[in-house]
Amino acid sequence: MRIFTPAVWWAGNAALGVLLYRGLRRRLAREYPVFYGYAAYVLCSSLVLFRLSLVSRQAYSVGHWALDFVAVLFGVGVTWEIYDTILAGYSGVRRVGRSLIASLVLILLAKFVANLATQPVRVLFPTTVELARNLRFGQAALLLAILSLLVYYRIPLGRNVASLLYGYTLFIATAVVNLTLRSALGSRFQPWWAVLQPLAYLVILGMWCVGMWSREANPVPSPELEQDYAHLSRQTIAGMARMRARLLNGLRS
Amino acid sequence: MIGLLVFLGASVALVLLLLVVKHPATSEEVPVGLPDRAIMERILAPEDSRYIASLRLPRVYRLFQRERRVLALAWLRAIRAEATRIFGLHTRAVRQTQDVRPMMEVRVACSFALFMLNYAVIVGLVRWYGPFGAGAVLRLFDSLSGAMERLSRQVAGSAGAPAFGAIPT
Repeated sequence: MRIFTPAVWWAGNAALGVLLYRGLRRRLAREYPVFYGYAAYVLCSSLVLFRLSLVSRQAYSVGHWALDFVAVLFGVGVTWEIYDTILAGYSGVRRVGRSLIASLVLILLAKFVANLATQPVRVLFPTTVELARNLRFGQAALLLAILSLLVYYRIPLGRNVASLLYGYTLFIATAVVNLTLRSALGSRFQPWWAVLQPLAYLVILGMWCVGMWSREANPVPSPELEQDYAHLSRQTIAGMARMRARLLNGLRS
Repeated sequence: MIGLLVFLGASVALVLLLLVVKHPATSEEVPVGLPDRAIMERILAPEDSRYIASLRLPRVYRLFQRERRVLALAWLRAIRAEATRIFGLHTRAVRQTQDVRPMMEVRVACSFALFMLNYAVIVGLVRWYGPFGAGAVLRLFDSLSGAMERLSRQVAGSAGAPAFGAIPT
């Protein structure tokens, strides 16, 4: 364990360095400025935390949560950049996506207000772990919406944006699991947390390094024939009703 | 506890969606057309069943049932393939459409989900009871729902009018 933690820490910083170097060299940083800004921020904050860990345990703890909060805000930006890049050529899906995300934000706000009414003090002053978990959960909800749109509309992904999406989604998923277990189990989960969180992040950094090694353009959507949307939708609904009737009547005969 | 499940469930859902999005179906589906209803009528032909039953050979009868089940499932799968193709055509066509209406998209998604639900139930019935048994179960549902409808009409017809007339003004 004594060797493992610093080894993972150094490997993570090295991976971040490689990622930034390749991003600048291949001019990917221009295409994904928020993501590379986030990577640079994580590298800098890692070095700052290293310095703080030499000062005192308390300074490290305060610094860790403060820097993590800014990283979460950066993360929202990364999520938005993924959404914006993937759906650049799909105006119809963007429109559905806006409605979906607006509904999600409304649901999360309604949940917050409902909690506020029942447990005002607890909600206003959550622990840092709970706050981090809730913020990551918000991002998880946004990513769920984006992934649902990708699956539903079968949108093809380029290698760069795919690695960004897979890596960031896995990062959020593991962060939510870790923070939830940390919040529920308390200090009993601390030894696991100390190993699992950096290890998961190292794997994700590896994915990013491989996926962002060279530039690859996103697939451009082929121009579809302009069709009357309302007519097309009615046709699809009628088609589904016809299929359902065939399904049921076939066996009744 | 519910909160814990929601947080963990969201993470699991993210990973599952990633697995699905990893291999997007980009190939164009070939139109197969709707399978003819006459084929299913032939699969379920009672005279075939009666003839095999009259042989009084249990192994042959079981083989016959198994074959008919396979054929019925293939017929159902052909309908599902056509429905999936039509749904895929819709989603591909509207991806770049400017005037997409989210509520209409919800209706389309619901109609597809309803079809898939019906498909799952019928495939389950065919697997469980065989094609002949599944047909009998569906006809039983039909007669039950018809009886319920007639009963509710009778109740409404006999109780509804006097009750309104009896209201003192």
